[in-house]
Amino acid sequence: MKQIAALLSKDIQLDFRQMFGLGGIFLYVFAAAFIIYLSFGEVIGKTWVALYWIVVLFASVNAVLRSTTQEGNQRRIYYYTITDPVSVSLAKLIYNFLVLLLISLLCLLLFVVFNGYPIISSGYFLLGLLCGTLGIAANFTLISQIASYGKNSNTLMMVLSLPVIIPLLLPVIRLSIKSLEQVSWSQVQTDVTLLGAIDLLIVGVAILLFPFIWRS
Amino acid sequence: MKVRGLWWKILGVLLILYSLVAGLIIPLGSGVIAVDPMVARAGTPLELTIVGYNSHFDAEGQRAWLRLNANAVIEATQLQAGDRRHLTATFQIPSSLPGRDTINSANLILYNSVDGHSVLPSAIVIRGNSMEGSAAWNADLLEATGATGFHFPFRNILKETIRNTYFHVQIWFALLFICLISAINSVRFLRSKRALYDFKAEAFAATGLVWACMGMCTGILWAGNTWGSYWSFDVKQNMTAIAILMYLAYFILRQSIADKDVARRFSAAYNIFAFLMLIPLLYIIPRMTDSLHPGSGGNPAMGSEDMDNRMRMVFYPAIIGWTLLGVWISNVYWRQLRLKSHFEEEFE
Repeated sequence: MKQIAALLSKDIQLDFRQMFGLGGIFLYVFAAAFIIYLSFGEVIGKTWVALYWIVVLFASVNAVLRSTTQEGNQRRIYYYTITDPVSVSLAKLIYNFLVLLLISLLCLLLFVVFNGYPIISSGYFLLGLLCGTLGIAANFTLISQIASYGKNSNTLMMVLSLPVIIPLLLPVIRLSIKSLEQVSWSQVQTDVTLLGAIDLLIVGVAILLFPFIWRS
Repeated sequence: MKVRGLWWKILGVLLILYSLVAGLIIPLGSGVIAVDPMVARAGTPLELTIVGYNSHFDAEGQRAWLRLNANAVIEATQLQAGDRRHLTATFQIPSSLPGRDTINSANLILYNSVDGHSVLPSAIVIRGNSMEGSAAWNADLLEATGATGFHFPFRNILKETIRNTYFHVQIWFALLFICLISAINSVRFLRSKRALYDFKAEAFAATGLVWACMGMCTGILWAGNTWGSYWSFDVKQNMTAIAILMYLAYFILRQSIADKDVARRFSAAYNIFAFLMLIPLLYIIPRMTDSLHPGSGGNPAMGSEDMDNRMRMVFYPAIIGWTLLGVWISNVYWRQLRLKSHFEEEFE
């Protein structure tokens, strides 16, 4: 537990010292939302949901890959000697989850300002956003460790992560589209349970497999 | 998978041969392809020309009914069989209809002693006038009896393509087993770090990819003949495409890392992850959305609507046969991979 807290605070402190890292991602989100505003004006309905998740997804790929690649190999070996891999994976996962949550909330804010807010059942939308970012964070934490090994990590990250993210992304988008209208719990129950189950699956697998990958 | 001996290879080949032969030569049961005219008026006599398929209209005890709903049935007053496949039936349609609707669609039901029952749903539209009353619609259907002879069921849109069940549906079952073996070998590799398990995982994944492509091709052909277009953006078709992308990414990952030990460990982890994502992708998400496939959006799958016991007698052996063939191919392939790796190490 202490190790997790220490690793987490290390990552967060690192971000405060090098603001350009996260700042770059935020700027990317800002630019994307602004371009969408310039080209569409007000965006309604399904298009809003689709554009929102595309921007969040690609910003997340960059953010997670950045946090993985910024650690050099020597530092990884150093961590390896003093900590155990499960706490590293948990710390990474929590850190990535917080960053992605920040990104998606910021993106939501920018979208509301620039492109309007067509969501009516905000509660279910936010629930979907929470589950979605958790799943994306766990998924990308694992895949970025694999992708960051080689030279062209950006391409590899895209190739490896996009197919495996779709089983998560589809229920998230379905839930978001449903929350465009007034919905009751019984209408979204299956989506939410499916989302929760896939989240649990991804988080469990990520924590289980992380130690095997991390050892390199 | 280490199975000793030759028996399972022979069994696999025999089962595949059996499913090919039985699946292709057993005839379809009788059915109705077309009727003419397709519209009738209440209160007028109707002379209906019926074209059948694999039928025996000249057999004994030929009868015909028009059915509006479970309680409203009339029987043909006169039947004349042209030959085995052509029949002319005369109905006296009553002037009053049981419902208030002016347009009613009726099912045509035929029976004879050779074919048993055959049904054409929504065969004919009956235009009514405003008279209401079901008194005249009081004929009784015969109790359902099986046909004589050994047939696959005749389904209206599917027709002869129902045989594709033994090629398209079974291969997805076989694929699941093969991908499962691949994922299990990846787990064993991560636990033991023996390269042997990695060769096996790679070989089974490769076979799984080939099986997925075959499943997709047979599916595309089937869709073109029944749904009307080869790619109809059905959810299962899209998910399959993504699953294939996933396994292609696995092979790209294997190639893209130069260090062999690292590549093996990473690809094993990715393989496990991909298999676990395959299950929601192919088996859960399609069931929750509207799809043209059976088993999704409220359509039944594997139920009595799709398959009867005669089809199961070919279908289950086909699954086992193609799974065994996949295991055989993978076994040959991982031996080749192991040999290749030995030679490479010797030359280095």
